[in-house]
Amino acid sequence: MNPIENFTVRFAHLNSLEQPDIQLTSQIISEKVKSIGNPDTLNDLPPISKKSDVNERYLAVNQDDITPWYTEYRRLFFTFIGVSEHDTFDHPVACIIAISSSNPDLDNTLQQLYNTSSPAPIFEKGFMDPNILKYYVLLHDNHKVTLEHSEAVFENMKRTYGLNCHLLKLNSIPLTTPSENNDPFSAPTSPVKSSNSITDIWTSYINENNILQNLFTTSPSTQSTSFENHSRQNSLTSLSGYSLPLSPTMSTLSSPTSSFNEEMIFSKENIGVDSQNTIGFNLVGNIAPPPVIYGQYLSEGDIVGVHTFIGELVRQSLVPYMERNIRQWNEQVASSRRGITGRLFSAGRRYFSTGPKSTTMNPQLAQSPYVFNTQNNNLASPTYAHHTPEAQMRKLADYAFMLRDYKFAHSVYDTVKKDFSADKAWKYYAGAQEMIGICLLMVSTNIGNRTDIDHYFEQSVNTYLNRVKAPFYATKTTLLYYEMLKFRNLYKDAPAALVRMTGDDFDLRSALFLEQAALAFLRCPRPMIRKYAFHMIMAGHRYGKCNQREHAYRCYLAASKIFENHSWSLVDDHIHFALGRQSFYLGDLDTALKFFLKLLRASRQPETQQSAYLKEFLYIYKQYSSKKDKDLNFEPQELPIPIIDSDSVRVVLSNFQSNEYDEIWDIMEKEFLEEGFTGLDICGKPRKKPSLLGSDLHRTVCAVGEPFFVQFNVHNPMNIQININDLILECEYITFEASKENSSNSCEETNNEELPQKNDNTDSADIKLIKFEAFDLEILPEVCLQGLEKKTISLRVLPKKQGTLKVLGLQYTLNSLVHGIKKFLRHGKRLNDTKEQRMSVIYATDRSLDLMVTSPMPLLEVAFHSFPELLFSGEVTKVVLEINNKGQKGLTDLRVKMSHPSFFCIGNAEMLEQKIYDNGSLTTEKLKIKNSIFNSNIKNIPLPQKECINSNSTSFSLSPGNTTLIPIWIRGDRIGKHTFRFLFTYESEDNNMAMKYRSLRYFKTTQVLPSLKINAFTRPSTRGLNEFILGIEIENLQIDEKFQLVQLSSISPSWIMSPINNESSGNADSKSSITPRQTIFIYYRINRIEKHFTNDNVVETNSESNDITPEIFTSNALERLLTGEKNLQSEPSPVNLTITNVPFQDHTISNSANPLEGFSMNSRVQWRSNTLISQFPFIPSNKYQNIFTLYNTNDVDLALYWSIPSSQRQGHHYIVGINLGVQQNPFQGLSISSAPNRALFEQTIRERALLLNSLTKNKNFKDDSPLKLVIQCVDIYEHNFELQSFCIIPITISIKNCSWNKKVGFTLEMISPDQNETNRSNAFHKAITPMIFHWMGSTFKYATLSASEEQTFMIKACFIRSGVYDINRWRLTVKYDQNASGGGRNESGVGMKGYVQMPNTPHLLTIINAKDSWERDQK
Amino acid sequence: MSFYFAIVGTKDNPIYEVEFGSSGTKSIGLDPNVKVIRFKDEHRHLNQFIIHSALDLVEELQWNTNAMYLKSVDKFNEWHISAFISAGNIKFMLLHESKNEDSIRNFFNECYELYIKILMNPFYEVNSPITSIGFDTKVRFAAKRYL
Repeated sequence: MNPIENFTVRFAHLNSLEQPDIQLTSQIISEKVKSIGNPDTLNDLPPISKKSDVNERYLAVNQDDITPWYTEYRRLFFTFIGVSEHDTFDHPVACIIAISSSNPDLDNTLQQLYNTSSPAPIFEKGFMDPNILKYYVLLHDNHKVTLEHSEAVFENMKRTYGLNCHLLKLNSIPLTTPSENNDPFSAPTSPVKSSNSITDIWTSYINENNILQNLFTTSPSTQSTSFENHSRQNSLTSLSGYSLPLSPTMSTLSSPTSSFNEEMIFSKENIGVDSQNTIGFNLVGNIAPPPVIYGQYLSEGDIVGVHTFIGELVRQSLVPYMERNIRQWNEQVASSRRGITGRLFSAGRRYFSTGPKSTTMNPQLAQSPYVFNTQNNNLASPTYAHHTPEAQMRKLADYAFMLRDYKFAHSVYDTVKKDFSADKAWKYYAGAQEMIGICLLMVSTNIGNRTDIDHYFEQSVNTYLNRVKAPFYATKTTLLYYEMLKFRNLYKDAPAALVRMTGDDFDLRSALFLEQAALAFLRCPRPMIRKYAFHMIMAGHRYGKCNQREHAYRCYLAASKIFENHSWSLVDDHIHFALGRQSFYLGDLDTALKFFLKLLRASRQPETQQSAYLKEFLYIYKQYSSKKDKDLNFEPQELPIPIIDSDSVRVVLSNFQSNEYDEIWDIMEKEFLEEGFTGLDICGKPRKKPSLLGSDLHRTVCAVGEPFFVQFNVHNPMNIQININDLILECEYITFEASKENSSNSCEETNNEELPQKNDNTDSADIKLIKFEAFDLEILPEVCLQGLEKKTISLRVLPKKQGTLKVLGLQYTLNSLVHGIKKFLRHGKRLNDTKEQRMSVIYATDRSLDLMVTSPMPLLEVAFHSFPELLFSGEVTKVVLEINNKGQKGLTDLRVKMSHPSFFCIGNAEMLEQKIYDNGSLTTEKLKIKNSIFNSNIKNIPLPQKECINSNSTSFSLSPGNTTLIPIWIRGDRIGKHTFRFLFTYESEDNNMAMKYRSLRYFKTTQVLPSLKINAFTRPSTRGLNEFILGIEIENLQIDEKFQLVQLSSISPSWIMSPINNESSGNADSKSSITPRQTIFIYYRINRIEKHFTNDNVVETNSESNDITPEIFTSNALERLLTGEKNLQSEPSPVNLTITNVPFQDHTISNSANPLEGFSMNSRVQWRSNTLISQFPFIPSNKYQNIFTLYNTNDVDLALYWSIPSSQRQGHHYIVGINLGVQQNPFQGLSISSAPNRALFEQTIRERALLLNSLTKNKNFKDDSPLKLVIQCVDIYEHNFELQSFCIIPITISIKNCSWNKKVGFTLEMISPDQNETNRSNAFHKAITPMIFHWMGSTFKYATLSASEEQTFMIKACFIRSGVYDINRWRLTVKYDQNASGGGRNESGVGMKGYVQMPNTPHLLTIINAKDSWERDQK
Repeated sequence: MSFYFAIVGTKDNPIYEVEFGSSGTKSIGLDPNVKVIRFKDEHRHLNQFIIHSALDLVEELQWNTNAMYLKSVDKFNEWHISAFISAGNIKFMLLHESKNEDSIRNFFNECYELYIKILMNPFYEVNSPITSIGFDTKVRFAAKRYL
């Protein structure tokens, strides 16, 4: 026989052997579990958030230490396990009967103590065998009797009861207070002891006994006698092989072999006075007086005596008794069962037995209340009496198991299992299955077939649960299985086993098991942390259900570590909600709010869920705030809703205008900066160019007293409606001095947010403003955001002091309850300068919310009155511009840059009543203007003169609060839909350092419809050299409007216009009105102004003689540009314009009055710059002013005035840029040789070459022949050929050099028609050329003409017949006079030589034979 | 028949989730042994829990086979979890009731192709949520066809 180590015995009072009260025990257990908090060991370990957290350090910690509540649960569970009929582990094996040697009537008392006729109540149920080993102990109390007496009695006993007797000596320490003999529970009088430690070994257990006992007594269903023996739990722990601290009795066992599972029963009645001295457990009273100390008088020798007593008991009596029984039952029952006969017997008995199975039961059972399932379940499960073979078999197996013959036990269990199954004794069956599994786990060294074992346990659990409805035992099985698995390190199988027992019935057990399962996942060979997390969540959920809040919180918290940052949104919501709720129940409102805040976000939760979250959050917050109000440290929190888009936060100044077309505005501002600060301002001081329109400091600048708005987008991420109340900005004011020395820790910060003086002053509007020292803030009472709604909110700020104002954030109240704050976090643009910055994402600090408050400034507000939405092309209407200064200072130097300058003409305030088309009387007007291309984009707006105190500085300004009206005429210059942009700039009267200029953007849209389509064409007149025929084609594009032409005007420096025929009246109306879709032609004659026209003019021309013509100016300027001279600053000389008005009707419109003059100049400038841009793309546009002139000498502009009588509209069209001169390159290349070929940079050389090339070989300028030739003679000549056969007619030929600078040589050859007939391709000529005439005299003529020189020849032609002749027959070969052109370069010469001019129109001369006519007359 | 399909990135983060099938018939409760199974609104988080916890088993299984389709990897009450793992360690997880391996395999393959197309988008970053509506409709269509 192999030695059995660590054999353990359990002792229990016989009367305490009860079947368990499951409801009560579970109550006790849950109380106990609740009381156990987090162990210290857990705090040392880092929380598990990823797989690597499950490290060796974690695994080194015993799992029982991680979850002490589970350990406690397990301990209590086995404490309360009680007895059951289906296994015999809790049945007594032996009985100890103890008696004091002082007892006078020893024999009788012993008889009474164990009276077989009246056994303990537990035996009445029949499943327990009352026939057990009895062991008699004689207690010798030193205080009572002498040793001799006791030994005598013991000898006597031995004789009566045989070997199973023992004499136990106690209380060897002498009694110090003999007076208290009779009261063992009175306060001990601290006896003199050698070893205090020995006496203490019971206290802890007895204390616990007391606690348990109290629990039972306090609970209503208590049965007062059922208190438990403390040492019972050890049977389990030793079973699972753990060396838990043993109860004192065990630890004192020194024997190598001690009984494994044994019940020692003390009969209660007997103990009487000495009870505390026996072993000290059987307390009589329910109320245990606390100060009792047991075993005070036990000496060390006594303890050793107890040890030897137990050892002797086990060695000499108990184990042999058990072995004997095993042998006996094996022979009597088991072997026969194993044989064929046994099987037949059992089968036969099964099939042929008449009665139900209950016949084998003890007849008492039928009425016993302890039979399971009889009362509440119709399906009576049989109970075997202790003498039935099945019960004996089970007992046999249990004994074998106790004595650790697992293989044998397994075989017996296996055999008896079948019987149980056949009898439908499911409880027994389940128990057997369980034990088979345990046996297998105990016996096998390497467990290969784990699924098999698992199967046994699964069956057992399922049978317990489903057939027997005894979850208590299923729990026991699972616990045992789990502990076994833990012991064998088979954590992988544990979760499945544990989860099997997580039904709905016991939340606490399920929670504990789920938690254990979760932990088991971590101890798998490969830790499964996600499974761990999931099971922790489930455990937490179950803990929450059974009110174990702290445990629930802990589980959820542990799991949340794993789900963190993984964006499983629903999971996160669930965890946060659970954590919030549990921490709320636990009274931790801070934490609860923290978790609920995480729930307020965009999520996939349905609306109802979100509103539930919100509701709960608000409820908790209410409690929180009521609590915190007393503490007085109530800080507003950052709330997750609503979302404020920090990027959208911007400051909108009060002078801010539309932001829609930002880029275009930016371009306009930039252009303004370039163009607008070159000249002098109104007072004659040069303008200083600021780096930015608005402010110089790269900061937002606003003025004192001018409100600005902070605009931001608010977004509600949730599906439900939320309200935000009392929105107010949080601002910080830093005084000017502090902000100047900005490095000095921003010394004078005054965060005015906390100012108590919240006197709500309602502004004139509905805006509520809260006044602070340095600024006023608008408070917005309520904003309601629907689910997922986005809103833009702007809040007004009114700065009141100079300095720096920082907008920090927003304060608001959510749903009128939660005080929240949002900081505006903005960053500037991303930095990209250094490598470091490029590698990472670094942003510049943002200063857009950091405003500078300066001294008061003017603030412009403009409005256009009666601005037309629809215009006909060319139509002119008057618009009134209202200018209002809303600022605190005078406004001056108001200018405007327009995107469409040709549309507008700005008048003076005095011209408000002026008509557009003023009646004039003059048909010719003279005007002297500056002949330079001015910038038409930027216009001054005249302001009323200010009545200054000191008269020497006259200034035009608009004082604060004043309004002025300015007329502006608008003309539909181009067809289409236009957006007119006006960029107003102005200055303060005071010189403000921070902000010199302010600007205002304004825009208007108008659609311009087509009205008239006008084409003009010119043709040289045959009447003279300086005469042209002007034809104008006018088409009415309108469908239903009738146009009335009013007047045609020409504007030109050197040409005037006259009607071709002077009959002005007559059918004037039919000529001047155009019905819809009609086209008319009108013709005019254009003549050159003769210099000697009047005397005045002569004087004028003389006085202008030192002026240079525009052509010379341009040529010189280009030359200078080429040579790279810097000073291009000269200005062209003024030009005299002559305006001729040809009215269609009676009244004349004066063209020189302002709106019209302005429009004509605007149009001219516009046209001129546009053509220049296309002609000279290489000359930068800002140099035009210094190179080109507005009018060239031969330019003619036409203006056609019309009106629509039906709709009172009137307007005019311009035809700009008719050049009646000879086309000539403005660059004459006179001194091109002087252009230096060397330059400092190659770049400049290349640019210059490009420029030169563009000038000399400009495709836009094909030089024409500068010469003009006209033939003049009478049209009809009568000649009597009979009188004289030759008709000789003198013909005048005028040749003019139209070039303004070139001397030209020419050869004129008169050609007779017969000579070069072949050259004539003109069909017209072919038809009539047979008429031959001859030139007389020299037909060749050579001459040179200097610039603008005109020469006239007389030449004669000879006709021999009457007829119609084309006398325009000549050839003109033009050559520049090399000498005269001053040694020009060859290139230019080559380019200009060899003009051959031929007539292109016939000049017809009709010669009538006079005789014929005479004859006709005769007839 | 309800299904819950999720694509899980390499950092255990869901990059795409969809539920389809006749909803409202069965629900899963947090109590593992409650037998009534339904995708109810209040229990939708459980789908995520189950899928997430099944990832452990996917990680265990993925080294044992060359196939991308791992078949049913886990079980939660009556629910099966089938998994498919892409070459880039992106996990396709399907929570379903009935075992029909072929149709699920087809469904996974289809989804994998769709996912590859998403991956080819130069503006898509690996492991970031898939927000493409086209992808969503195609996945639903594939589910209708195969499941």
